[in-house]
Amino acid sequence: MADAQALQEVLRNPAVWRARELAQEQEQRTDRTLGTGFSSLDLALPDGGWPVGALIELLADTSGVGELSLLLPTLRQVCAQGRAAALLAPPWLPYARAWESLGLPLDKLLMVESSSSDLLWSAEQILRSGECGAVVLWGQAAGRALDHRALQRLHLAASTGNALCFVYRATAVAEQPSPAPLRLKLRAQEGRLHLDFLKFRGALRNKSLLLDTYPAHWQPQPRLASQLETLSTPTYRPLRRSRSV
Amino acid sequence: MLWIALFLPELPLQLAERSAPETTTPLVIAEGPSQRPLVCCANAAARERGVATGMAVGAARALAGELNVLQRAPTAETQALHNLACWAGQFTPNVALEAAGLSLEVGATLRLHGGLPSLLSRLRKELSQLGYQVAVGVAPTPLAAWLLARARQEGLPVRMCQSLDQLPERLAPLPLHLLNWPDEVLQTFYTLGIHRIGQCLSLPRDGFLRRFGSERQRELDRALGVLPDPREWFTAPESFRSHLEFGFELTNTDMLLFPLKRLLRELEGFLRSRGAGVQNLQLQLDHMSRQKSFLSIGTAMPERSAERLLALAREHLGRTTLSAPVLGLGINAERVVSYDENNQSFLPDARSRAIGWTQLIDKLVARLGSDKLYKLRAVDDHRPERAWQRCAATVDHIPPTPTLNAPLPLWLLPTPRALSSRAGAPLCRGPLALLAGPQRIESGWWDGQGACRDYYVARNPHGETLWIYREHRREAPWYLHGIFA
Repeated sequence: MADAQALQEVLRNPAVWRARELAQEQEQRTDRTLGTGFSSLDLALPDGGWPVGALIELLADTSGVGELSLLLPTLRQVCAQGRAAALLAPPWLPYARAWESLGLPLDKLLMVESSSSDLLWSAEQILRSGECGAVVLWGQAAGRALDHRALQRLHLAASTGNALCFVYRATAVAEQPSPAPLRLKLRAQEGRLHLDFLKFRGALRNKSLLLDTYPAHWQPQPRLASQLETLSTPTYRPLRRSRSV
Repeated sequence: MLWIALFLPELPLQLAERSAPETTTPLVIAEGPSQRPLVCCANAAARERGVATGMAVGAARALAGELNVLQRAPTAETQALHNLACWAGQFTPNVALEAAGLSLEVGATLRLHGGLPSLLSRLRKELSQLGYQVAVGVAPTPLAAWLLARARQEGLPVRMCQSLDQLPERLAPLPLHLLNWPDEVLQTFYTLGIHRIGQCLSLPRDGFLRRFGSERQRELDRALGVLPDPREWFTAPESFRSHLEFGFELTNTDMLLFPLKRLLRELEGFLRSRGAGVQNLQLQLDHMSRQKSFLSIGTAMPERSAERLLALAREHLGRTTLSAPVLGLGINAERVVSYDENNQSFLPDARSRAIGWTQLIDKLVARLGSDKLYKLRAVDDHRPERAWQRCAATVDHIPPTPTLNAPLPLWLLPTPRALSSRAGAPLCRGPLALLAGPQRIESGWWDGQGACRDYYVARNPHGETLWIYREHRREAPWYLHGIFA
């Protein structure tokens, strides 16, 4: 009797790994991923897509490299499932016609403007309620308040509400530890988006990836530049010359 | 018929202690002429020092040393009883106001509340949460219930009485002074050796009538249920208003939450009795020299739960800073709307999800303010700065606008930023290379904000893809208007 209890105690120790857990984790993983919309990224990610119920950090220094277009197919999918998407502390004004023409229903997009602790509180409330399928947070507005503990709370809130939480941060924090299970570094490379996988859960084939987030026909066109000189002359003439008195 | 009498002993003192819960300093309530105020009620700390009811306030001050003296406010007492009657309407529609309490006729609604013991325990618990001390008496007639309640307050052993047959024996051991008869009448009874109601009831009836008059006999008959005792029912008003005065100044918004919880519980009882909810609640904070400040709490859907309203109020109060110390707190619900309790379904369905969404929006708006939360609407205008509008977060459906066949950036700058140029080519953290364009927008001549621009997609050496434009005139500068994220 005492031996059986002692054995249970040993098995209950978290340092003991059980093979059964791996199967459970695999099951959970396939149920809880959302396709990214880019087939090469889906293949490259260990789960086959974004892990639902987790915090995903995207580190980018500049905006305009395609970092938000990366998320657009995911947001479209979330809205199609009937859940809303929330953007917290967007760095610029969202241009409604662009979002609409890219297929995102505007009545499912919620914008929240706030700063530091209010921002993190709002993110936690939205994630935990489960009303939004995806929350995109720009960390620059939170400043110092976005520390390890705050990120952990966001991760827990995302798993409670079964939602995706994307956080954009500066590349300078790449050295700092973070509780996010997936961390990507984004930069531009010849008009394409270059992804570096800084942290991931599971096995990975390549540590970096190039994606096309812009239309392929957008290449530098010297013809346009030469047309600009002709624009500097006016294309109309006044009808009457004024007489000098 | 079954009556529950709720007797509130020393109501002026209870009202004073309700808003300020600390009891260590002696407190008396004074009434009477201002030249010679008399003590109406005294709290336990004052009684220990020897202060008694009826003595002059000057004498009480001499006995007690530091003494808080509050003037009695009969209007506040009637208002408090009125609000308590509104609150009690959730248990039964038949509520009658008494001089120092309420009588509830619960015979018809007993089964709804699960029987008498559970109803009584619920009453006691909720009244203590509201901050009142109450003595309860239960009897088939209102007057007998009142006598039992007063006897319980005095500490006599009483049992509740549920049928008319047991009533004479339950009333028998009660002392005569509970009946509130004039002193000389009571004196006559005492000289006859009659101190209990039972002895009074056993006197011969015609002798009693001749000696003491028909009024006393009628009163005893009403107590026993021989004669009917109709009471005027209380009708609840359309709006609810409640107020608490503090005896001291409050400087912190957190300290307001405790009295606010009590007021919200009363409001919840009132709303339950009317089957209604409230969408707009006004908080009133009283400051010195009769100044008031107001705070409005709005909800997207009718609410009546005190917990949820308190959570919203906490967020609102956390955002406001008090301009002056607060001396009193009031709530005011002008309009009540009908509220239907949604059946809690086991599986989440579309309706419960819609309710969850509005509650989330309420919570966020309470903390951040309604201007920080919005959705977007596209406007059919070619000028980009006018092609969008903000709308409230509670808007459900936004109609689509016709799609444009041109590249549009996800981000727009609030005002276009002028770019420097070198040899006619624009610069933004490096020379910009043009990728696509021009897209000419010529519009808006009718409202004076005409725009005649050529838009280009450009990229800088750092890899940022930008939306720039220049006006279609000679030597116009370049502007940055959007970012393709």
